[in-house]
Amino acid sequence: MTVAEMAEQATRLTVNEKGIARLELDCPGTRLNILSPDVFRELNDRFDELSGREGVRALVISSAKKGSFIAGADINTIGAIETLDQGEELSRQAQLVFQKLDDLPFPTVCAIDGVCLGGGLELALAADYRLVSDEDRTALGLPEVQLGLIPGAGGTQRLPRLIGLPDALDMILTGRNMRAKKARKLGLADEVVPVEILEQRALEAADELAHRKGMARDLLEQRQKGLTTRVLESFAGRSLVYSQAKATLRKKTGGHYPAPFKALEATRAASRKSLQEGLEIEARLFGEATVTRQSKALIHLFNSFTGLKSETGLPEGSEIRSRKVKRTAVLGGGLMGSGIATVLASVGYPVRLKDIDKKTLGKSLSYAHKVYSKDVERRRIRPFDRDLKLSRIRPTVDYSGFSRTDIVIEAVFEDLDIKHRVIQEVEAVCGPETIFASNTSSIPIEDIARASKRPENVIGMHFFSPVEKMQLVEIIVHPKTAEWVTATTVDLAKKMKKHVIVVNDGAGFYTSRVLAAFCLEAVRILYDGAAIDAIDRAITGFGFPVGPLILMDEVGIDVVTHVMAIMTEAFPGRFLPPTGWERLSEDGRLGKKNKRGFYSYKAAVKEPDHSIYSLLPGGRQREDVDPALIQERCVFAFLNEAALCLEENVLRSPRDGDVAAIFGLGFPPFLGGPFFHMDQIGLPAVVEKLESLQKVYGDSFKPARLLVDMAREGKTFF
Amino acid sequence: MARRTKEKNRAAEDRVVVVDGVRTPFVRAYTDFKDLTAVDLAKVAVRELLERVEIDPEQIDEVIMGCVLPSVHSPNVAREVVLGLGLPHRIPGYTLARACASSAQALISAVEGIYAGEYQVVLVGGTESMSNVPVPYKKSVVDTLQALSRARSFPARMKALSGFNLEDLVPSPPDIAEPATGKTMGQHAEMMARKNGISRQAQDEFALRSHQNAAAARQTGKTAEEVCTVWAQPRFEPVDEDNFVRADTTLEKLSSLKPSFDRRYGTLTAGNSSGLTDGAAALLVMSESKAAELGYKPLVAVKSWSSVSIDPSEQLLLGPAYAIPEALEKAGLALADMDLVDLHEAFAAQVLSVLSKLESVDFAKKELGRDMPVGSIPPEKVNVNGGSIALGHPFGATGARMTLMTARELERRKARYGCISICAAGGMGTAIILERLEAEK
Repeated sequence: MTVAEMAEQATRLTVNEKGIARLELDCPGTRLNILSPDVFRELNDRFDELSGREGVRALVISSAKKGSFIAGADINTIGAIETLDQGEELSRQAQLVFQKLDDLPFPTVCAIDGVCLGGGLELALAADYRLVSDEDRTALGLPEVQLGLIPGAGGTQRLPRLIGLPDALDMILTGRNMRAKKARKLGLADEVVPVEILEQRALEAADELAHRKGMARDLLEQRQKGLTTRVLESFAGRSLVYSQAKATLRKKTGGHYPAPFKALEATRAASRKSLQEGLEIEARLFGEATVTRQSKALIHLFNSFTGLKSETGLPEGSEIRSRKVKRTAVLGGGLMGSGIATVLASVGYPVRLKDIDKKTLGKSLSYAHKVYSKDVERRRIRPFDRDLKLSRIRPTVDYSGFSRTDIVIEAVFEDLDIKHRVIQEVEAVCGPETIFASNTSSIPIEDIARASKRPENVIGMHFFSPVEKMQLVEIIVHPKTAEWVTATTVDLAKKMKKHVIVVNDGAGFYTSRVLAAFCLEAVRILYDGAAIDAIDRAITGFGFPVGPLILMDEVGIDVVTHVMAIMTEAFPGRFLPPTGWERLSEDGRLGKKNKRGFYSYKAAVKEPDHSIYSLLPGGRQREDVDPALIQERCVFAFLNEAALCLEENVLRSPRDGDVAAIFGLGFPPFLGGPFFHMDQIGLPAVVEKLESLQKVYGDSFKPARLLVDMAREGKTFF
Repeated sequence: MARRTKEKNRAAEDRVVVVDGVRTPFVRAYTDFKDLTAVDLAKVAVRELLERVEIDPEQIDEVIMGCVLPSVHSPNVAREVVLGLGLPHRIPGYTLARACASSAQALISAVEGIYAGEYQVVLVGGTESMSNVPVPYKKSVVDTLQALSRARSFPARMKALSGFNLEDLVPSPPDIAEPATGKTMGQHAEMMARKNGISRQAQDEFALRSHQNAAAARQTGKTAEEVCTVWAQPRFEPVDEDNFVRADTTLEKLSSLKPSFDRRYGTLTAGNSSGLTDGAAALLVMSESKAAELGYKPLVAVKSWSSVSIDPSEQLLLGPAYAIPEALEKAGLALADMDLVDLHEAFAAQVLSVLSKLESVDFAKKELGRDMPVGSIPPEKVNVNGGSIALGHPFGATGARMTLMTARELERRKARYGCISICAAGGMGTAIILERLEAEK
């Protein structure tokens, strides 16, 4: 074997003087171990080699990558599958390799430190004995359903056999990861070992198992499922567990996600069939899952945000680097300011939080305290960490402590004059290299920068509410924004653990603009005579987490009106609310904040406020509108506006548009985002649908030029 | 017997300066800061000071905190502040106790360390939560629990429990009694009032002045300059004012109060004594050259200091009458040179006793071995913005509070010298002479 060939190898096999073989995984050229077809082939050869090898008494499998075991199978291989048979075949091959591990004539042990996910855990399950490190990073799980798939390398069969049906279903159907301690409790891990001695202890355990003596032998013999598990696995218990799991799934997936049902079916086979039969069922269901459009969409989404992670926000090849951010400040202690400060402090940045009102600042601290306390309750952090995070938020009513601030994020009222005033105040106290990031949701950044002495330092940083939960940040650059400012802001948003897209300036940018088109269409449907709850129900039925009218109540009807005005000013003739819209504000309807909106907030259960109908055309007599029509109008308004944003170069890529729509606007993940969805429908069909909607509902459905051109040329977004 | 006076504090060129300081509001125990520990309070003051001076925490070499009754769970307050605020781990931090002079001693220790070349930049402060004073079990309970934990069998456990009385479970809270004398602070102060002929009326008048001065300082916005807002858990309501100060108190009201320590013959009341208080204060201290390098305009330099002690059984709280002349001598200054004098007001009777001793020829001769008295201080120079009676007295924080108030008042008056002095348990006294930096040029 030449050196070059050796470098290509993903595994190293050695045998020590005691006859303990060590198989170390170290995939070449990657940060993590990923089980690609090549790696599977190599593992296959290794297991063949081991089974015939003289003098080997036990095997220890570990990873040479520091802090990670195996991250899973190669997503792109699965994503490229075109037919059910291909998917089934891929699963069979993987099953075969792990069966060889299972069949080795001596004890096999896995030493796991760091992530052990998907195919990685399925490999570990095929071994006899598992040791995990006690580090926080150690996580065992089968996340396949999150990608619209099911475990396809024996996971659905071996996991329930090892830890029992109820816990196995919980892991497989949710895709949830288990930390070391929990894994030990479930019986997924046999030992939790301090990381420093993990390898050494794994070798000892292998030796003990080979000689049938010592702690490892004892632990293996004591392996026993709990009483509850045994009862639930009994014949009667089993059907109860299945029917309950199925009912829960129906409720949770809204019928949009087939994968968990397939996973349930596969896991069910584990308790009724032999391992061999079960594996066959698993392979077929895996094949089915791989070709679902949901799986394709979710894999597209996974690749999209993985791709975004490595981007700097600057054109490829740019020499400009982000600068170090040490001190931050947030202006405005309202809901957004509080949320931004909470996240900044949580990830380690000191935040000077300024508001004019001390009571508001108290509420901000209370907000952060509540967020951190939840993590304490979940035992993710200790009370000390909560207090440390909280101490990073330093409230103030003046500009003291601002002069050495690297970035100031403003979250003051959405009013251009106020934004201009604060930008000037900040520039008076801060240094020439302080970034001014505006958390505006609609005002063009260029307009805000007009009041600045240093427009190159001004950028948009659009967060979504609640900031600590919403995973998107939309960063808006205007023509004068300096590249280092963009790179630094993108970097900061990533450090805040957000998905970051960079868009070009324009009223509403991408997210607010698309959302405005979507909500406005819902309003038009309402004014055309539909009922409030019928509209929202249709949209949640489509897969959005909330309906547009409830959302407007949350945001505030006054704010929506304000944003629409800004949009109309930027796009004359467009984004015009229907006639009579102003009657809502005249009636004092602000939404949830004053408990007067589309819904009534008097009762515990949210109900449409029927008194609002007297302000609308049609009065209290609402028409029955086909939910499919409601969905069509709202969703196609969304899709067309997204296409316009790409056409006008507000969006840099369709991928950004998909990620932002899903993480910022609640676009259904199983559709992969507006652009992926349009590809799936087919652009000619999209254009055709828009044209037919245009005929009935007017020019707001006029298809984007881009769509028409692409449809004609037979192009797709991806 | 005349006391031996120490020579000088230093000869170095580079002086030590106080750049700035911040304190929390001082509030009556078991009120607004009920749920904040001494560490929590110190963290607020230090955090806000660091924000205001905008220093890079990497510059800090040491944190020294005064605290008399820290929690048994975190006795080293200073280190907990470093860790709890996420300051660089290499900053160590220690906590010291010199009773009510603790944070004055923290300042002195910082100055000494800087002179010795050990540090350049030190965070100094003090903190006390009288709402969270540790209340220990009696020794008998601790012994029983210990025996119980060692007992391995049922009979052994029974044996460990025998002789245990339920009344043993009554906790033994710390009191402010002097171990050496068995008398409380209040009783000692009563004794001082009697020995030095300090009348009830004089005490009440002094207390009234303390409240009036403190109220005026609040009114004119002076207090707000040095006090930071505390958003106190669990409700995070902003607290930004001292809550002891009574702008509306009168001599009539004060004179109507019943004596606290000696119900029959006493003259000390809750009105003319300092009360149980929660609060913290922090100062940023560094060498003068370092301050120049970092571009700061410090408030004051520490000119000299003195810590003394006397027999606690006589006049327990008379320490300042010894410490002030010694510190003045070290500085080569006279009492008349002082533009401001800040005397810690444990009790009005104690302050008035100190003032009378400073004026006394007899005291000067007998106790200080000098012919002339130290001098008298015009009332308009004494505790001009109120003292511990009106503001409260969180033991560990008072020295830093006095330093900060005096430094800022020197600045306002464009005056040159200030003296702070504190009496402390055990018969101790501490004095520090401060000099405004701009004034010398």
